[in-house]
Amino acid sequence: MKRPTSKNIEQTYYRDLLFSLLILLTLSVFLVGLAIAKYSHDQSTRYWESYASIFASEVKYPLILHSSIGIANSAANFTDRKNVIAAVVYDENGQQISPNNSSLICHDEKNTWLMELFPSSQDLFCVRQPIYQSINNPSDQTTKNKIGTVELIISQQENAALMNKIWLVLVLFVATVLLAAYYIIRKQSGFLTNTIVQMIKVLRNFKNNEPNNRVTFSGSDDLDQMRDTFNDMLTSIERNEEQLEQAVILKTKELNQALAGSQAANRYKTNIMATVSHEMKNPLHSILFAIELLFEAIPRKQEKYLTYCEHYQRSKLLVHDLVRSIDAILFNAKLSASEYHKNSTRFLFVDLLNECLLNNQVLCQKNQNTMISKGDKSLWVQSDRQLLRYIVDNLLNNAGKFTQGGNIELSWHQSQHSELIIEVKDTGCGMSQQDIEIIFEEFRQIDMSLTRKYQGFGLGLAIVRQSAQLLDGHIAVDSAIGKGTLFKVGLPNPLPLIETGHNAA
Amino acid sequence: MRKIYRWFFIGLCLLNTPLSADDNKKGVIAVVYPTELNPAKANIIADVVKGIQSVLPNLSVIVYDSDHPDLQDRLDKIHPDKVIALSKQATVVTQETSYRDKLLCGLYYFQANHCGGVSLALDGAELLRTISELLPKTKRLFLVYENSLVGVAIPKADLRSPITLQNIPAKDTIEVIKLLGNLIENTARPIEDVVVIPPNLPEDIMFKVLASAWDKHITLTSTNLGHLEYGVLMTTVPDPYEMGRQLGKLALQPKLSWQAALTSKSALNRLVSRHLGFDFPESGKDSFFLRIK
Repeated sequence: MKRPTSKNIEQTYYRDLLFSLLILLTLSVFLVGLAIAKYSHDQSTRYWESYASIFASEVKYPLILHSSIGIANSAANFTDRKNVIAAVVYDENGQQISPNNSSLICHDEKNTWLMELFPSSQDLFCVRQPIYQSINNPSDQTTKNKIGTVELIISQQENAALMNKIWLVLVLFVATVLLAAYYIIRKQSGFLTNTIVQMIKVLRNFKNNEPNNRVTFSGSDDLDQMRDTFNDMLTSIERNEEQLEQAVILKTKELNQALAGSQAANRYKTNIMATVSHEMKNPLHSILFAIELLFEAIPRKQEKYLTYCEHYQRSKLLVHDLVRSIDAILFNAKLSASEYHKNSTRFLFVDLLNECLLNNQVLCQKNQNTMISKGDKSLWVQSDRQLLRYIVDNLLNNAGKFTQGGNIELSWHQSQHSELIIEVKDTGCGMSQQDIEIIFEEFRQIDMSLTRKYQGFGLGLAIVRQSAQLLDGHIAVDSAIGKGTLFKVGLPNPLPLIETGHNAA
Repeated sequence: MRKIYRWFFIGLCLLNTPLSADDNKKGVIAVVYPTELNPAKANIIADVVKGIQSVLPNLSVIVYDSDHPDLQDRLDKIHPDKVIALSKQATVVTQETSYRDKLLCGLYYFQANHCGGVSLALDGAELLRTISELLPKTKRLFLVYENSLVGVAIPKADLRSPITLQNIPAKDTIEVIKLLGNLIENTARPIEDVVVIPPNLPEDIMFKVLASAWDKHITLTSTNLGHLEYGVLMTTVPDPYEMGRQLGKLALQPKLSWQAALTSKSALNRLVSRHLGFDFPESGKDSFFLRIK
């Protein structure tokens, strides 16, 4: 929106001032005109009523005598008067007596205020007066007896001309005053508007961050006081603004430093974790290889072969668990550092599930759980296979870890919204609603004590959630203590069922 | 001869005794009238009272305040045998006292069935006499009046006057105007006819009637002195002093009877007389007690 300049403001101010003056004067003139018109009308009415009374008095005698000529002569005398169009005489029954051929009709309707204000020369004004004759009663009391009515039909021409002159004078007066006001405003504009215009100008500059703008007008004590107060107010605002800016800069600097430190610490943590994990993983492979060699070197006929075999299996399992944990740490670090790049491929989903089931078979046997899997075995999926594998593997591992002698059910299907739904349900210990809120956090377990029953770093479900998010999917948990847990993961699968079926075929 | 004187003396005594007793009995006669601020009316009242006093020297005069007429108390102090009320208002006030049966009225128009006394109505014979004396060419005298207010008492007997008296009574004011107007417009003739207008003719109609009469040279007279200024040729009104005397004499009579004013005096409007062509000499012993214009 275009902002008005200070000149425009002055013009608007003058225009409004003149417009207000015009309205005020017009209203005043209208009221004066109304008063004059009313006064003129009242005076005119009074005058013509008096005139009609005289007419009534004049016509009374011939009316009593029933002298048509006398009545006509009286009416004619009164018609000669300027503005009188007709002088009509009625008898006591309202019958017109004179003149006989009058075609003018006087309406009973009263003049409206508008007609009084702007009388037309065509308008007619009617005045009626009854004709009374006093009668002496036998009881020496006098009563008035109506013997007829006179009516004067008067032209408004003269009145209209007078009112037109009055209106003309009033309009000229308004025009003169407006012209004078316009001249004064033009010549003395500074006197009237300088103060306001200066203040508007300074406020606008102030808004546009132009410093050290101050008003300079002067005049009466009040004006000077207003100027000083206004300038003090601006100074105070500027000072407060500067202080506020300094405070914001300082706080921003502190926040940036804190952010940089945090990011550096995070990077450092990730590097340390990755380095440490890597350095741990290599010796573990060597250890595993050494264990394999030692186990191969044990003679099979030796008495303690079975015992050695058991030790071998336990050692191997522990090493595998450790490698798995280190892999989890490394993968989590990679996800946290956003260094993992998705690689979408098309594969038969049941192959991936078999791998995951095989991975967790040992754990399942150890905890004496029964693993059940059901779903469309011909389902093809297009997704990041590694991330999907982490999701299923960790969910199965989690279920196997917290279920003792129970059932673990893995099911999957393709929804109508092109979504791959994976559900892992166990009959394990379950968890409360409060626990559900923390299980997806990194390095968090429900029981964080050193003497906890279930081992692990608390990264499995954190990786599951991050992987699901990375694949634009979602995860939901439904659990109750003692009643088991259900994890439900939904992941987009662009391959339609027909295609998956075709591909499967 | 002695017998004659003796009987004459006895007769005188007999005649004088009852008279003296009657005088004592009617000795207290009061005249009552309100305070009058109008000098002309006050003069008329004063003349009437003088007339009464000329007959009844011991007359008690009671002038009361119109706003606080304490007439009963004042009459009770003198216990009059007759009360003469001058003006209609005085009559009304007196009728409210216990002396209403002893009332004689005067100085206003009233009829015999209303009150005893002397009315302002002029005796017709006196009017005819005056007209024939002052306007000898008159042949007809038209008397227009309203039944409720008779300005001239119509004589019952044949007056043997050269002037023919024509009564024109009307039931109300409008009819009076109508009859009067038609009379002036159509019937009356100049010089030989004289029209007596009613004393209570409305003022606004009066101008019209007079204007019409002026145009037609009709002679108008009246029994109302105020009409003279409006333009009647002359007014014939009761003489106040004589009316007073008439009242005084009536008060001495045992029966309260009604009478019209038996004596009159006339006033002249010279402008009208000139217009009508009448010539009244300006002599010292004038027939007119007042001439205007």
